[in-house]
Amino acid sequence: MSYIKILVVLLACFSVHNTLFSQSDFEGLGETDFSFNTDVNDYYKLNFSVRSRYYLYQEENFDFENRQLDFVHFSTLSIDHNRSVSLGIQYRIRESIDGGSNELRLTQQYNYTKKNEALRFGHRARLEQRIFSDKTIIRSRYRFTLDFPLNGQKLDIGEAYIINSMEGLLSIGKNEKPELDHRTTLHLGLLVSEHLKIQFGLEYRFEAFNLNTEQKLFFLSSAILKI
Amino acid sequence: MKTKTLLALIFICQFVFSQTKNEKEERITKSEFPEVAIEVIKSLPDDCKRLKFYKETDGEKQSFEVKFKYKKKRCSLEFTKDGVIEDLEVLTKFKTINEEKKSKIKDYFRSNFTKHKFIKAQKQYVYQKELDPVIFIKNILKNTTTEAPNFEIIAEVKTDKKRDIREFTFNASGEFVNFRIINPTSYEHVLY
Repeated sequence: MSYIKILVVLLACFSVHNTLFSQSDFEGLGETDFSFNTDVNDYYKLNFSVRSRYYLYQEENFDFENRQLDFVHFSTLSIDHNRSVSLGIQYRIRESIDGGSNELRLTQQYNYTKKNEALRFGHRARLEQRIFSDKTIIRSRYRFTLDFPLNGQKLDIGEAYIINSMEGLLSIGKNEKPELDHRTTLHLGLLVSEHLKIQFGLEYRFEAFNLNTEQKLFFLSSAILKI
Repeated sequence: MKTKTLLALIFICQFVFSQTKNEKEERITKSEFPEVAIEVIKSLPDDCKRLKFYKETDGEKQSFEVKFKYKKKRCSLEFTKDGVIEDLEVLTKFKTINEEKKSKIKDYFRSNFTKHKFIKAQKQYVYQKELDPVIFIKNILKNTTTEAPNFEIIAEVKTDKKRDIREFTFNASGEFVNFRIINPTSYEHVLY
């Protein structure tokens, strides 16, 4: 029963955003992601993913248009069962797709989780260096996540789970004003088997809300393979 | 190109689907509980709050569990498939365990593992058949039981190069009985 209550509250949070749809600086996008995770040993984990982003709605029109393709790698060293540090490298191809700048991104990450019966709280802090062809932006971000299985206290094969997160981002670059972003995400996932998870989600972004707010709604889909 | 990718995906999915394990823990309603067990649950003190019912299946083995809070303590009462009590577990803080037993348990961890970190500790009161189930529970909850509990401790331990999360059982005097390795999948369903 209590999970249903949580869900209702979250849905209410999302429905607040509905009123914002009418604005012209609103864009709807989609993101699809394939991830491969593998454990090298008990301490060291690798992640590879390919992610594509596409426009679904822009300038008040529904229209499919590819935007970018990301190739991501993360190396994670777990300190113990609930703390880890990671290094990431990402290359984003945009120039040949929609004309924007390609990007090389380096990420340093610290992650901490705490479990309370079925609920799990996650704190993630990241520092990123976004290297574009004409500038470099340093971005720091913090994400708070709450996730839980929809049935029972443990996630079993065949069961679904919910992940909610809120993230704040601060971007700093030379000759540019600092930019603040905020993202709210709601994911519904399914543990299909020991090796496969499928997730669908919605993400609402307020970009540069301290300067000239752009609002984006993302439709997320991902398949996560663990080998 | 697209059909090839799709075919490859379908292939991977099939490989992945074929490896399903028959281990499951699910939340159920009170009415799905064994009748004998419901009688016992009805006799719980009125101030037992937040009753939640679970069914666990591990291959052929089935068991039932009711979790509740009594005077701020988290309790978990386990039943067999036929509704006979197995044990009552009460969540506790490791540091509140009796000094003598605590040091015995600590010694065990120190001498067997290069590193350890406690995650969770529970007092486990094992049910003896000749006892009246209602009195058994009442005595434990009211702190008037003469029975000494076992200790169930979940800890992350490190031996030479391996690291895993295990559930250890120590007897009433703090001596090691056994352990089982806890499957970590439930700990990591998101993030990298």
